[in-house]
Amino acid sequence: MVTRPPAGRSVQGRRRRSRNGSADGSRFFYPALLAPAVVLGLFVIGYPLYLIIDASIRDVGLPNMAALNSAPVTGANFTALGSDPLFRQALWVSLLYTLGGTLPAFLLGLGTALLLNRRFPLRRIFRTLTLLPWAVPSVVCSFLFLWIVNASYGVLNYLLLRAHLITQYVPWLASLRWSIVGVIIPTVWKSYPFFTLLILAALQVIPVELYEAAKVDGARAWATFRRITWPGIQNAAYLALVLQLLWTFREFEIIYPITAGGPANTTQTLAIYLYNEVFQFFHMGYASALGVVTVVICVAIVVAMFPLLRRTLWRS
Amino acid sequence: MHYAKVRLLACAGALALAITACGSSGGGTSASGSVTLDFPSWQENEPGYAQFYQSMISEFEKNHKNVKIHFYEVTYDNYVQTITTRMAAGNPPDILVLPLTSYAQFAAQGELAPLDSYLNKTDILSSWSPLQKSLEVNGHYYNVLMQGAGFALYVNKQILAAHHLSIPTTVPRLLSECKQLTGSGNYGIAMPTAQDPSAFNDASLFISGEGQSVLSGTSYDLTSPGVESAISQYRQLASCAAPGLVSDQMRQVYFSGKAAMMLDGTFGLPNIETEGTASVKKNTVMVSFPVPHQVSYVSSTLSIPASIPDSDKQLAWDFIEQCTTPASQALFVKDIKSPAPRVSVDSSADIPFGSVQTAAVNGANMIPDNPKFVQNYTEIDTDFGAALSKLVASKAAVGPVMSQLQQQLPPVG
Repeated sequence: MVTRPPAGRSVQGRRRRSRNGSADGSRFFYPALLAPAVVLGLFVIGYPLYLIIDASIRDVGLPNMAALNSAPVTGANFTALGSDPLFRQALWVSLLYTLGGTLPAFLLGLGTALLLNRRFPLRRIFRTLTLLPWAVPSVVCSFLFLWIVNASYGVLNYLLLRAHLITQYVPWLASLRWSIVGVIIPTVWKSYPFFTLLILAALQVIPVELYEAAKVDGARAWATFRRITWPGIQNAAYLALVLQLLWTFREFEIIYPITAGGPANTTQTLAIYLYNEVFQFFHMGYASALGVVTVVICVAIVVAMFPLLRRTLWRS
Repeated sequence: MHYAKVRLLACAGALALAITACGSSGGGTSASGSVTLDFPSWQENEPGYAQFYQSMISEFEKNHKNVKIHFYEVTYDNYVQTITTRMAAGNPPDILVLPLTSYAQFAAQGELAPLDSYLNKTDILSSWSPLQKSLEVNGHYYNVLMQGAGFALYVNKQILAAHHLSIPTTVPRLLSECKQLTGSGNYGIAMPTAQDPSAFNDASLFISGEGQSVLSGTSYDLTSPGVESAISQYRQLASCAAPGLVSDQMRQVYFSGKAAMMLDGTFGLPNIETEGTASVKKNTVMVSFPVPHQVSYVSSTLSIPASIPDSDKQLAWDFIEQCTTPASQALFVKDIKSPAPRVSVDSSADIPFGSVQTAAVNGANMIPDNPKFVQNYTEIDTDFGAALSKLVASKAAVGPVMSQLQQQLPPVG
């Protein structure tokens, strides 16, 4: 015996098929809507990526696209990377800068988000003020800190000296030891509001009842954070961390105006090194190889973080 | 079905329109036949240079009725990058002013038009500063020297007098006086102490000024006692300057009266006039830098991109040639207050500290006569800057740093 569906359901089903285009031949409609975005994506992302990979295996000087196809194919750009001490130094500086710029920003962002989630007078104004650095253009931020950490006239040295934390002015940006700190400080200042914003948004959807129940059960602050707050915000925190790690790894706008990679290349990240190779030395092929390596490292960061993201984001 | 196809076509049409809209039409010739020559320069807004080039453009446009020159500023920090990007896009300017750091690089990359056939019809090669000879790349000239420069010591007489010191005439005395003048927020000298593009220039002043050379034949000679001694002098002088400053910042230190002396190019006087305090302006004198031999270098050149149409090349050359006439060169001296590259135009009497400037500009070229050195100058300059900033910022011994630098520099043999 065959059970027929009710007449009404059958009509609805036909109508649904008709709308999604699988039954009346208009199944190309949705792909067609997506097509412009896909084509533009391929044009603005795929084609430059292809050009970079193509240039990385060619002996080409000035970045002249017309001359690219006629340039001889070579693997020398990648083999040269292996024996280039400046590349190794730039890679190390990039890792140091990425971790140094991201982790303190994360902790600062987490702290301010927890603070701003509490009720206190003028909270809205403080929320706005806290997020302001994120709105400041990177170059403006660089010049701001260029003067703040200036060795002779900077307010940072003045305050530290008045607080008896230093005995003489520190040439932050001219010192081989401290220059990396000199570019990390503005990076942290510029990027922590991003963490604040995402974590604060996550904090606001944690049910208040959970905290009330924890209070009734006599949970201490750390246990409350570990058992209720962190599980509630970890999805947003992990995503923000991955994004910020990638952005900081490729950062150029903050470092270049402040130190241009100096002194003695102690702040020369891969991005700065790549820029110099193209625009100062006209080593387009070598710079493209550096670019390919940078992309590979960024992909590796995402792949390394993928299990973490899968556990959190996908589960949610 | 039919409706779906229409929507698909509409989407494709919109995409095609969007892509078409992204494109732009270029070209220097309008439908009416008038031509506009594109001429970006970092000097467009600099005192003296702006007046000179505006005069040149007015005269050129008067003699070429259908031709306009679009002269506009691209800041020095972004200039080479902008030109490089435009070259890469196949859309270079029509007239190029190039600094020391890149004139040979662009020529070696085949981006500049050879000017030999034009130059052979003029007296430029025979009546120009000897620095013009150094512009030869692979047996051809691609640039016309527009300004040579030398080094000068700018001295604030008032500060020296307050310390009962006189203007130094030797390097040891300069070092000694700078040490005495440094302290309590004041500095003996203003000079770049960060990783700065002018680091090689400043070090070369000491190396060439002491009669040494960074090259011995076709190899580097950075570990010779003479070069190491010169670099040590440079380092001692830098220790009397405010740390971590690039060129613009070090000038501000001098302009504000915080430094007693300043090491800068001979072209620095107009900046003191416009930016210095009244006291600094009144008390500044320019003297020869107290090295045994004066040192000069190419400050700026004019050239023509290889990829522009021949008709535009001829117009661009007409403009360059106009800038080289004796009358234009006299105007150059008057406006820019710097010696002209045409040697027959005597500028000593017409510009402030004329004899000092002339002696400096006529000094030995700091760039060694080695084609590969010239073509790799930017890379050498950058590597030198990194090594010198390491010496300035640390107590590392000169010998090992110069030895490491020597291994790192691009080959010149």
